[in-house]
Amino acid sequence: MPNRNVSNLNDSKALVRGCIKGDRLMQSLLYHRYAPQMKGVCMRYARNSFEAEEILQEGFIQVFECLSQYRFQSPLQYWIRKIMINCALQKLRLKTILYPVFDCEEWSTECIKADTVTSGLHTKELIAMVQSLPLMCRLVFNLYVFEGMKHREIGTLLDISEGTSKSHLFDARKMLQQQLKAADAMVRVNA
Amino acid sequence: MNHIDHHIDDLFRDNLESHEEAPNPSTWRSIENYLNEKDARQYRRKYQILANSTRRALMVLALLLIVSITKWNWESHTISRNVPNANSNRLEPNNNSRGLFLGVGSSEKITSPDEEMARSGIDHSNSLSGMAIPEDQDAFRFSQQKIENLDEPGTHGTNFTDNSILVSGKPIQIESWRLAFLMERDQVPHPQGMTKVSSNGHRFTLIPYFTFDHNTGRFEEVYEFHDQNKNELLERENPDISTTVGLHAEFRLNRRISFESGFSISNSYTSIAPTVIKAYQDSYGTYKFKLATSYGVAELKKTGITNPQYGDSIILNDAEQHLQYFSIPALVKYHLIPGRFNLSLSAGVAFNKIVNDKMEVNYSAGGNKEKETIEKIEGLNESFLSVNSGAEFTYDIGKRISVGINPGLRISITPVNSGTPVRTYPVSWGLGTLVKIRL
Repeated sequence: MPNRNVSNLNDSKALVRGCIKGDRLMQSLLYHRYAPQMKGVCMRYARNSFEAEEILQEGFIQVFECLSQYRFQSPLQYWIRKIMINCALQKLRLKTILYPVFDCEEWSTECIKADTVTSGLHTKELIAMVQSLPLMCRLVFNLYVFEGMKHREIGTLLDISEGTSKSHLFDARKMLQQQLKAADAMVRVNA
Repeated sequence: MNHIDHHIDDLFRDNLESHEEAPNPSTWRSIENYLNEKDARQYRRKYQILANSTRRALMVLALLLIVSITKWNWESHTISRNVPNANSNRLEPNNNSRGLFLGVGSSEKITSPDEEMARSGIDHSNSLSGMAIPEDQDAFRFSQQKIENLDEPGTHGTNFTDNSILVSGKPIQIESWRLAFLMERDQVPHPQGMTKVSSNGHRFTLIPYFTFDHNTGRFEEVYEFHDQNKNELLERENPDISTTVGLHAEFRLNRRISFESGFSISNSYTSIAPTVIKAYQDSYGTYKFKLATSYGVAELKKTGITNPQYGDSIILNDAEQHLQYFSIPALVKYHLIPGRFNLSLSAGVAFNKIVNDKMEVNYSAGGNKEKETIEKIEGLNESFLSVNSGAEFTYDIGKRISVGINPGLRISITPVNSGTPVRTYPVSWGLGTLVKIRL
């Protein structure tokens, strides 16, 4: 990261204006300020770290190209995050055909009590669990839990019905419970 | 939602909501490379437009220069053959005294003043002998001295009878070409029924010209293109250097007024800044990617997304809009300062016919980069009318050739498009060079 000391960089307006003018240093500062947070967002949507890096790269290119449309009506962080999510959705939706249709029946329908899940799990393990979800389940789970969207909105965004969205969320939760249970068992064995 | 679902959601939300992870350093390098390439591409394109325009201008000027030199050489050769034994006790035409000179009501080739006098057979004792054709600087000065002996026009009945004028109250006859020369400089009054010719005796002038234009316009919002209003469309448009090349013909009615018309071809370029193009539903319920500009709407068809749905979008990396139109103006020109240095003002109307409109678009769709040329911009009219005005500052570099500059302004009075989100009346101002070839 560039180590130029710019006192007014807290002012996102100056940062945005610099980026719009094409100042490479400002663009670098903006990237390095928000990239770690956005990588965290991308990790939840992607299947792995490489895919997350791809989304991050395309997302930031889109940010720099569309920054002139930013109206300072919401914090810059949220604006960038929205672009990242849109970019992820678009990229992943185009790859839909590459993923096999997931059969929910292969997952156990046994209800796992979440109370039994230990709190000793690392963040990376939780991310790995989300990443292991089938594409549509992963997208619906992210949009519902992290973005706070309603099923109707998710359905419109992903071009699925409201019922399908609910179904995907149900499946996602069920799979996550299954994985939490397995992880918990592993911890107990190790203990 | 039951308690378990809540617990699952909260567990993941609490742990992952604010999760941060250091990106791979190579990601920024890739982004930086992309931005550098994009900047270079934009500079290259602007340079290319400028280079192409300059090349065309130089070609036109070179062609005109060749034509002019060829014509001068031919005329010079003709005169030298016509005056092999010119008497040299007075001013004689030399290689500087070349060209055709139109007399009053007649056209004759001047070979030598002495030959002219010999042919006329009139009393030259008190005539303006020794005058050469006006292009000869020595002869011009000489004639000016003689002209001082003339009576002031109109002071005591200066009169024309055939080719005679009153000098000190005595009528004398002079040659027609000399009379025309005096008339042109307002040294003698103009006889009734005779029309004064141009400063160099030429009524028709051809004017090839080339200008660099800057395009802008008057914009009226008709409706919002989905969520984009007029200002959003205009903000991402940046006019590039545009050019006009044309050939006009000028007909000189009198010393001050002339009429001008002809044709020209204008090429107008506009850059479109990067933006996101969303898929919008048309009136048939089909989602399409459409880019709206101040000139019209362009549909992108090669996105690779065969069946776009609501929420789909592509990233427009850059685009350039090209509009080519053919103009036929009708102008009235007023020569404010006639003479070797000529300043004239012109105004009139022009009919403009759009002959070509296209848009070159670079975009990213689903991680793939695409380039598409859209041959038709929806909503553009076939023609529009404009009011043209301009100035022309020229300098005579020869009897027939003048060069100069011509700043101009074109304001459309009818819109260039219809049924589009923005109704546009193009306005362009330009500065260029011209050559005037008097026939």
